[in-house]
Amino acid sequence: MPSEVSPEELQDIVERAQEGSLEAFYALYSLYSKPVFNFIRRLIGTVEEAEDLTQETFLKVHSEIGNLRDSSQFRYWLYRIARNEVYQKLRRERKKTEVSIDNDEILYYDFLSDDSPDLDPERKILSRELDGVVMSALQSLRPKYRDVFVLAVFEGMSYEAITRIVGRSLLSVKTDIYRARLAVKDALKKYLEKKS
Amino acid sequence: MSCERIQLEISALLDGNLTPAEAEEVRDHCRRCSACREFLEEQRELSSFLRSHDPSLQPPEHLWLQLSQRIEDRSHAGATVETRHPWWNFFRLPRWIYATGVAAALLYLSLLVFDLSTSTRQEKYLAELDQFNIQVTGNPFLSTNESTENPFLEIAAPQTPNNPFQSGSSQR
Repeated sequence: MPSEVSPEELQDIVERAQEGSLEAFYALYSLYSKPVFNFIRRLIGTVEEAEDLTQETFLKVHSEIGNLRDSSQFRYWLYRIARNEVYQKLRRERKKTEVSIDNDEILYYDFLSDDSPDLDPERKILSRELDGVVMSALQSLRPKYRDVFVLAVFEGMSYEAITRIVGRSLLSVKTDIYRARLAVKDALKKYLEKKS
Repeated sequence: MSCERIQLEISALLDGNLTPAEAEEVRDHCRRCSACREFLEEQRELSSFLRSHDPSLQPPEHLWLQLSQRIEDRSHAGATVETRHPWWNFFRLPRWIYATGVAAALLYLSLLVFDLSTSTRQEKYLAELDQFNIQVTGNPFLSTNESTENPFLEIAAPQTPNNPFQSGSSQR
């Protein structure tokens, strides 16, 4: 959870947003747009689609927030909406989600703002290439592994919180994250072997 | 605990999801087991590699502008619908009324189709009779209960040599 607000403050913001305050809704957007955007980007694989889906997610949050009964559950609810938006999009477009890392089609992304420190051009290219490799490795995972893995490793969420988002048991979440780790490791290993 | 189980727990340990006691059990196993120790190191490196090579990006600023515009547009559209009472509201009836209407329409259509098919068969039969110049007295479609005589017995024999009714008229 973003550390800027306490759970009580967050609850207060959510309740004000439920009463129709656009200011409170903007506060929620400011707190969560970055993690939600990156969560979606890692699931879907492209920045452009992540932008669209982030917008759709928050639009849905705005229209449905009145139906959220327990404001303390806001964060899980938000991620559930984001995840549903991604899955709906994947279903709609019948997108091929299993991308093999064996082929040379490493995806490159036009990063909007690269927070990495200044590197020399050669290292920058290598760094970008590795960023692409990580994204390809994530895309090579089955969706049910990918979402829990991204939430645990990149979002730093507890397994307990993840179970609330994905609606699966703790053991299932734990096992899927473990399997995802093995799959990502294999994908990266293959890539590095190929490079050397 | 088996090595497989320990490796499952290692994954949870690296994600900070073990209690201190569970974490100690895993570490203790790793001190004694080189395979699990290696797995722990590999996975630790993997986590740090992934985090360093997929930095979190800031969503673009125009996203909020577009979002707030859409929210505004929707709230305007919502207000219009609320105050207008469109004409199609008059057709908002309970579902059972629609269901009854559909059932009645289907029944009517099935009767119509049955009637049409009967008429078509009658017309086809009469045309066949015309073709062979057969004179029929009485209505052949009358049921046997209503007619004591078989109307086909009264068919006048045609003059054509190829009349199929010549030899088997009594059988039809």
